[in-house]
Amino acid sequence: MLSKKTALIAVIILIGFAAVFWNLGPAEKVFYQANFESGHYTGSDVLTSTNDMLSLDTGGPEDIGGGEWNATASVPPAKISWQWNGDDLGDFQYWLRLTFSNHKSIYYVAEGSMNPQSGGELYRDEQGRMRLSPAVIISGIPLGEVKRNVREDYTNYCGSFDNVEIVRINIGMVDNSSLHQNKMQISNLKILK
Amino acid sequence: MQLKKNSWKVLMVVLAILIIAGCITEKPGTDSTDVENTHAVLFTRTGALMTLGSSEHVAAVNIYSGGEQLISQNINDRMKEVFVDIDWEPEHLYTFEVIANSGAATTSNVYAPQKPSLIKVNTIELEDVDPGDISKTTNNVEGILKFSPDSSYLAIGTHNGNLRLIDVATGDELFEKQLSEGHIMAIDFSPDSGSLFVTEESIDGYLYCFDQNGSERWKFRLADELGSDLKHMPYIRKMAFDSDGNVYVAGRRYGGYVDGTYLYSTRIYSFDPDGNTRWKFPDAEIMDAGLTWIDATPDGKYVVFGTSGFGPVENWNDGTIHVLNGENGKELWNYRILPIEPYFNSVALWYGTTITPDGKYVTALASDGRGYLFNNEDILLTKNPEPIWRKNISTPMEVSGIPIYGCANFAYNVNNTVIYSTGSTFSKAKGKQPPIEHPGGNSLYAYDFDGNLLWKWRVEGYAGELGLTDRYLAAPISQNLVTNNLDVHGVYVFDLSRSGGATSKLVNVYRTEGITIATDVSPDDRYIAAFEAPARLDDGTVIGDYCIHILT
Repeated sequence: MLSKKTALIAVIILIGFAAVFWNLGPAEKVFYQANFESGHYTGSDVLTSTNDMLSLDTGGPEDIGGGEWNATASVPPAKISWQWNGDDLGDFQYWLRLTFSNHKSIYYVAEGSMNPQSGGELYRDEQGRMRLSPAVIISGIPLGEVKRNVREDYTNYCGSFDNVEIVRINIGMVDNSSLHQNKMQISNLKILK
Repeated sequence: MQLKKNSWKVLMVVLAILIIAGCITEKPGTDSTDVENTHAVLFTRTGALMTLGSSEHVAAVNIYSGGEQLISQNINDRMKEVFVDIDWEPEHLYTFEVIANSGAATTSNVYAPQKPSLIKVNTIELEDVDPGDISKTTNNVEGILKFSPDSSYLAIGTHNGNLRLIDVATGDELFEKQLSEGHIMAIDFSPDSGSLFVTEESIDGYLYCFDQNGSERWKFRLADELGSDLKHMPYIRKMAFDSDGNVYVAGRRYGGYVDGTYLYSTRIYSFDPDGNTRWKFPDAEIMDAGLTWIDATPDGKYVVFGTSGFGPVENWNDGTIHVLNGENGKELWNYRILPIEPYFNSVALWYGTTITPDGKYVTALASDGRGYLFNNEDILLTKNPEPIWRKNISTPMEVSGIPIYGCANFAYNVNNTVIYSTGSTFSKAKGKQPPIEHPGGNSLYAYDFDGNLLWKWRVEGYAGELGLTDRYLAAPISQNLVTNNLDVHGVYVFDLSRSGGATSKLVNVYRTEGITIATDVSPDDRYIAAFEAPARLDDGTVIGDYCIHILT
């Protein structure tokens, strides 16, 4: 038979362990993690992927080409992180784009990269008219690990709309140079709470 | 016993460690791990914003392009963001160099985009208001704002009669005062930015002239002229100025619908900068036609206004454009627009009668969807007031037997271009809703003086009064009564200097959750203010806030 004191101590310990377990759990909730093999590809076949890495390798410096990867999503603007690297870059396009449910979009463009061809989101409104929602272009993002607070970026540059969601993620990698190899790899793309 | 005592102590220590551990670790799913955004550059309409990731002591910023140094700006401050004025070219390569206090330099090569971004630099929260039902634009919470001509100040008038003057550079509030229990109807500045003019709809219907500290210089009581009661209060909806600081106002009072007639009492007034009355039009009577808008040339030579009505009145015709001599208030000419039978028995020129700054052209926009241009100089010579062209923009058309029209709202003159703004679609069949949105409704139309359509933009909701400079046009968009799409609210910004159509001119859009009811562009083009107001949806949900977004 346990004494009252022992039972009280046991309860306190259990509460303590529960508190620690709760607090030592995953610090960041992952809303979305890119699987580059499950998205859609447009453009040439020089984009290759493994589960968590998307790469561009056009071959020798004289070879050119590129393409786009995209995947649908349904997540609120939150924090986003990814790792992007590049070798022998020059005359290239390298960007990540988030499109929101109200047709706003943000491009994160790598330092030194030319801008994407598209200036925004083309869509048809409820009455079938083609419309352009100009994109926000955030340029000069250094290679390496990138972290962005998308909610902050959205609020500062796109609008005050609260109920917006990220509905599509695009990545563009293009080698326009016959002098540079323009090898690119992007990995570990996550949207975190 | 000793062991038991020690066990108790050990347990307490373990528990303390657990509690401390619990306190210092992060909770899952919270925002306690702030993301430091990485270095980046955003190009805006007037420059570039460099975000530095973390706060750094920046000595200077240099910008290069094509081997030339374009900008060298000393900072000598700890900053997380640096804004640099630069007139950049789309798709040009720029090198941004940030020199730290230590002398270390960080460079970034960046291609400028095709279109600039809008950046929110401040949000001014306003008082609580009762949201209007989103199903009618006439239910919308009201609010107006205006930048001073020198771009130093932003004046804000709210639905509840609260007036604020903001120092644009610092965001500081210079003064705040409650004017009345009624609405603030118009705000404007004298040409030297030294005086703030404010009108209110109240039992007095005052026109106030304040200095920059909010001290009253003079006021004019419209109720003494046009009468007043609790149900039908007078006000001034629009003011115009000449370069000497003389002010021209359109005074109005709607008196109700009595014995089949819509009663109006209206008059034009001109005051000198000290508040002395220069003249009145008419000089010896009050008009019985509706009156809302007024415009004047900077040299003070001409004043124009148009009349409105919902049916026949005794003395002053509806739908009539009047051009006055700004020096003495004498009428130079007038032209009456006849109603479109059988859909209308009157014409309303609510907000669309304007004159070009050189006094050559007069524009008019009838709410039935007809736009007009007059050559004032020719009419003064020939004494033959006829329009040089007329455009049927959103005039009545029948769909499934139901006549619909797009309500035409505002007309503007900028850079030899006439811009018309049309609004919501209405049915002329009693009790029947419009089956579709009028193809000419909710649109901006730009014509040259020869009547050629330069560009057209179908705005996605109801466009309020535009903010305009020689280069930029900002359109505040509220609800779309046909599609009910809530995503369309916001401020749409166009660069009028860009070639091509409206899609090319559309710079960017800043969306708001609530309806955007007003906007203005600072005359130096640096800032855009967007007035967001809350609205109540059919299910009772309230969307949006009552606030001002300051964008650059």
